[in-house]
Amino acid sequence: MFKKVRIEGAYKETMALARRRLLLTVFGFAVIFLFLAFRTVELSVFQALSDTDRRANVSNTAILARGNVIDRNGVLLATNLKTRSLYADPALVLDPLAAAEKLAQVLPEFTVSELEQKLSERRRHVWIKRHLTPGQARQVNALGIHALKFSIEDKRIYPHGNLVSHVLGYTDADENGLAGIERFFDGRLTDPQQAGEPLQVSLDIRIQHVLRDELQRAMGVFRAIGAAGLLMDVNTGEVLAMASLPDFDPNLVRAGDIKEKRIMNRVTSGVYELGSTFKTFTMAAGLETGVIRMNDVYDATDPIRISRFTIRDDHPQARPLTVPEIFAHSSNIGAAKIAMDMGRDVQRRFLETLGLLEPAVIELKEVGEPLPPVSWGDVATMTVSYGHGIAVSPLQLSVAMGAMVNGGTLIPATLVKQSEDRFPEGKPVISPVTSEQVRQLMRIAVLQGTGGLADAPHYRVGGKTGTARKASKNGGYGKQKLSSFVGVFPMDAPKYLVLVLLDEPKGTKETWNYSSAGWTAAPVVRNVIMRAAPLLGVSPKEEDETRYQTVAHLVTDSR
Amino acid sequence: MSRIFAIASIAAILMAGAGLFQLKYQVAQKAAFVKNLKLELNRDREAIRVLRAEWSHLNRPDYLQDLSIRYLALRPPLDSQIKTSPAAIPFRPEGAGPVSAPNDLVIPVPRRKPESRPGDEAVKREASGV
Repeated sequence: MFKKVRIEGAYKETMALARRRLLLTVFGFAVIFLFLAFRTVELSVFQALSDTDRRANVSNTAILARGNVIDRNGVLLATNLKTRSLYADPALVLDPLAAAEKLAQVLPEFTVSELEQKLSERRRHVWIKRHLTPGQARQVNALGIHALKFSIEDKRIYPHGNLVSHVLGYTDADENGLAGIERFFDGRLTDPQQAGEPLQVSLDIRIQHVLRDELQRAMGVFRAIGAAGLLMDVNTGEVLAMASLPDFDPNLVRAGDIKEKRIMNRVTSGVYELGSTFKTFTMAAGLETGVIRMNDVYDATDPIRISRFTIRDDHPQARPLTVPEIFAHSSNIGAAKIAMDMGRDVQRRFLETLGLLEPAVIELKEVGEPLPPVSWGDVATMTVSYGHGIAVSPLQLSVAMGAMVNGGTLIPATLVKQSEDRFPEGKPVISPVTSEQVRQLMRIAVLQGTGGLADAPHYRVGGKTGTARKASKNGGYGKQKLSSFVGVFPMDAPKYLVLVLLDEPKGTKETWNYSSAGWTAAPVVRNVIMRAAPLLGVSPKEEDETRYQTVAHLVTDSR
Repeated sequence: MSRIFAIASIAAILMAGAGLFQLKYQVAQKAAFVKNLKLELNRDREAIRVLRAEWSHLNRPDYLQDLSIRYLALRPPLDSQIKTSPAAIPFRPEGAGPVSAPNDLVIPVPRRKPESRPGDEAVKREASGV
């Protein structure tokens, strides 16, 4: 093909050089193009195949901004929905007044002048209203105002409204948890890794309703200013229901005018002098340390006078009382004498082990600081023995009471559902024998003592009343009461604890104008147990009466 | 020789180009399809979330209790109705007549759907509340 050309001299050499250079360039380009070809094949065929999984996942992650909350049976308690928020671009508004007039008809909560002002601002983006209802969004759209625009935003929705207000809490417009579970688990709920997985709380929405319904009814009947209630599993610490009245609708909190009083969770952040329920601890401490025995007798004939105080009984028997009688008839004099025999240090150490001197541990930030006596002298020792001069939250009381009946193990309360096979870690505070004795006392208090109205038939309820005088503003104690009842059932194998607290109940004709706990709070506990026990799987059973015989014969019934 | 080579490579380039175009076209089509599918999925997911929330809202225990009181004859049990063992319930005597409801009980029976019932306004209000 190629004729051999021979060119002589300098010309030949120049040609040869040019040719070599050309070949080098061709070779260079060939290498680059080959590389590009290979890379194309690799990217389009091999890489693409391995990439498909990764790409499929991308679309799923960004969906949930905040995780759902569900109850122990999977009922939805809180979720996120897309809503439209209305904003305006004032630069596009031709006639602010006309636009404002039209808009005010759709959004009656704004006045025309307010809207006009917003629509004539200098910025390019002015929020008008966030989270419109679908109907409002449609109406605004129908106005056909060019400058009004929507942005789609997530909104936190609580389908059950008021029912679980305090436990769930609420979020602000930017979805930051501000109270309750929403606040405590803010990190967990917003973590993209876990947002797809709902947070399961220990509440049971049916029990929650039963408790709230009964509290609400009692609040109405006894004209109380507030009420609180709790139902928990004494063996696992799981809280199945927690209600505080008055309450609020977490969907509407942002709208504004909710008073501080409604937001407060009386179960966890309110601390109260809770009264005679504390006698349970006095008895348990006495029995545990061996200071008292069941058949010991204390004289409760006369009130105790100490410095400027007089300790009286609310249900005076005015006679020597056995230990079960002191408990069943709720004798302050008897409890004070037991406490004095025991001594201040034993009492304080015992209450400390029960966690009554420091804030309760639970998955909420709204936890109240207990108020122990300022100076723990003889007077304080006496009053603390029947629950005055020391203020704790109802939650603390419930946890400590749970330990008294469950065999003596203090198990912290929890709002997160625990797995069934979990062995709850607790610390032993009293012996199983003492716990059994306390159970007998509590059952006798219902069978023969102040707690009679709490006796739900065949559900073997035991409990203790607590009627406390509320501290009045000018020091001392006023006429208003705080009536509470702590009930436990079934008493032969305690499983659930019910606490009911009524703030300033007033007596009615049916209660012969008594507003003490036995008349007001105890029947509420009975109703709650009657309605909740079938849902909780506690079956009614004939009672083994020999169980309480030894204690029962120590009680003379003279109510 | 060089001519055949040139023709072959031109043919190869044209074919590759046509193939590539075809591939790109198909990919674009698939991508649009996938994008649509994702949009639809998201829309459905959102709709499911709305329905779940509404289901939970309409199953509020207090609302059900209200409906139950209004339409059912069920009442909370009396103390005397709580038995400790199933043996306490007697067997039905043989030869007993058909069971009939006492006249004073309100038993809901299947009926024509009425135009409006007393609770309807409330139901609608509740439903739009979510």
